[in-house]
Amino acid sequence: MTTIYVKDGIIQYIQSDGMSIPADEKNRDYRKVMAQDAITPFKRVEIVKPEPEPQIDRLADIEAALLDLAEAIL
Amino acid sequence: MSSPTFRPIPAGSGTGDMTKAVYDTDDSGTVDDSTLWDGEALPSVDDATGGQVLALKSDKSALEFATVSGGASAYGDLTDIPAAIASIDGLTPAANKIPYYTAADAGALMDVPERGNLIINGDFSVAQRGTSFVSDSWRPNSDDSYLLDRWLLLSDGNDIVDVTQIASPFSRSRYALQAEVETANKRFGVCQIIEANTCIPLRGQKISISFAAKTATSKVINNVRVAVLEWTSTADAVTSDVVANWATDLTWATNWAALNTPANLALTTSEQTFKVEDLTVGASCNNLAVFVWVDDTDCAADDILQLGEVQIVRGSTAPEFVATDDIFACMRRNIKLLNTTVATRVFAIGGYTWGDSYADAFAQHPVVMAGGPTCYTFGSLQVMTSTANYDITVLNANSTDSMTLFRVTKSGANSNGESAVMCTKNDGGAHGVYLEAEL
Repeated sequence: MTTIYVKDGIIQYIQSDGMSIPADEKNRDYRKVMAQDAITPFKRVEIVKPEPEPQIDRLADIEAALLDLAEAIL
Repeated sequence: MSSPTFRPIPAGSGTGDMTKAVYDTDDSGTVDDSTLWDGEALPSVDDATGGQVLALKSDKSALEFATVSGGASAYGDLTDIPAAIASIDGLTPAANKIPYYTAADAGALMDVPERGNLIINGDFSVAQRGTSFVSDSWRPNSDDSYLLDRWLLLSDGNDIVDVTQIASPFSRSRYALQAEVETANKRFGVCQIIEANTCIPLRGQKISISFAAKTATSKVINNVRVAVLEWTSTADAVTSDVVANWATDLTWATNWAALNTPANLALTTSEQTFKVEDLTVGASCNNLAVFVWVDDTDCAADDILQLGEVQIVRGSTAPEFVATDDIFACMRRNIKLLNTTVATRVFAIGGYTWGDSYADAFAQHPVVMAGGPTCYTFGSLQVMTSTANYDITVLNANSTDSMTLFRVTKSGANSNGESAVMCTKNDGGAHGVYLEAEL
């Protein structure tokens, strides 16, 4: 199944059977989906979830997370 | 080298046209004899054992190499050499040109040939997606599908041929592509589309192509054809399925046009190298494609085509194929982040959890890709945290040319900022994550 995710009417990305397709005219999968969509429109889903707002600096967050992981593995 | 001796000329023989010869019979440095010769016994230059090396032709027009034991000349006719030389000597030298023979006694100038192959993975050695493609592969052998790196299968329907990387049957490469017919009586071929950065500088220039091909005993495919196509619409936004109609004499998709007139090239069970040379790239070309296909519609199931050593070079002639390691050039269009059937869990990409049901994981691409790629996944993937493993229910890959953010929805909740790794589920199945930015 192919789903086109939009935000404020603009395509953000496409999900289709194990594929995550960027909204990029240079991408052949995007062009193929758009060609099909022009004939039979695919389901569109408006993105409503807010972007994540990390509590702390993202790089520091990743670094701490990796340290946690290393400790967990050890 | 032994010194030649001169054969004495018979005295008083013959009348008519004559050549007057002079002799220094005592080797004093002074001519002490002269005689007239009527051609009945030809003067010659002999070697130390008396064998003739050079002799005057009977019509006295030139010297020729002598006959041996009453047979043909062992060395050919001296007059042939000036003709061959003259064919080159008559050319006007020019910068960056070299002479070559177009026939035994005719020459021409051509550009200094380039050895650089514009085709990537022309020896089919790079196989990131796998080495065998059938109807139930993660990447099936469907029409308009990229299989071996940079190579696109085009066929008159899906599951027309199985495609496999094989140990090369050709003499200048290690690997080759084999297409084995699955659905009889259908046309099929493989195509590579070359990106605009390479093609636009070729406008107005000469290019040449060569490839090796063969078939197999008792599985014979009679012919292949090759077309070099140019795309004149938006650069790198091509229609990858270059074939508009598979009926007799293929027609090409809009904005694709052939630079040559394809014709059947007869295959045998022995290696052959086919060449199409001296093609001129059009003034509006943005992309080129080479398409090698079987136009015969009498192929039976299991018939085999083996194809290898594909090259396109700038210049009027195709030189001998030289294999190169094209893995990084392939990765500009296709990156295998993960492809494993290992039963244990395989860690792929690190990140962290957020917002209860989500996790982000980041992958820096090992090479900068040609554009934002499509992310292909197969098999069950999970998010592993320090407390539990969760199935991934939705995976969205957010990519630039240099990195990908995998934003996943997982089957259970965590608090913000827990360490997390995107990994395979240890279910014994096949798992894969690929990034593709193919043309």
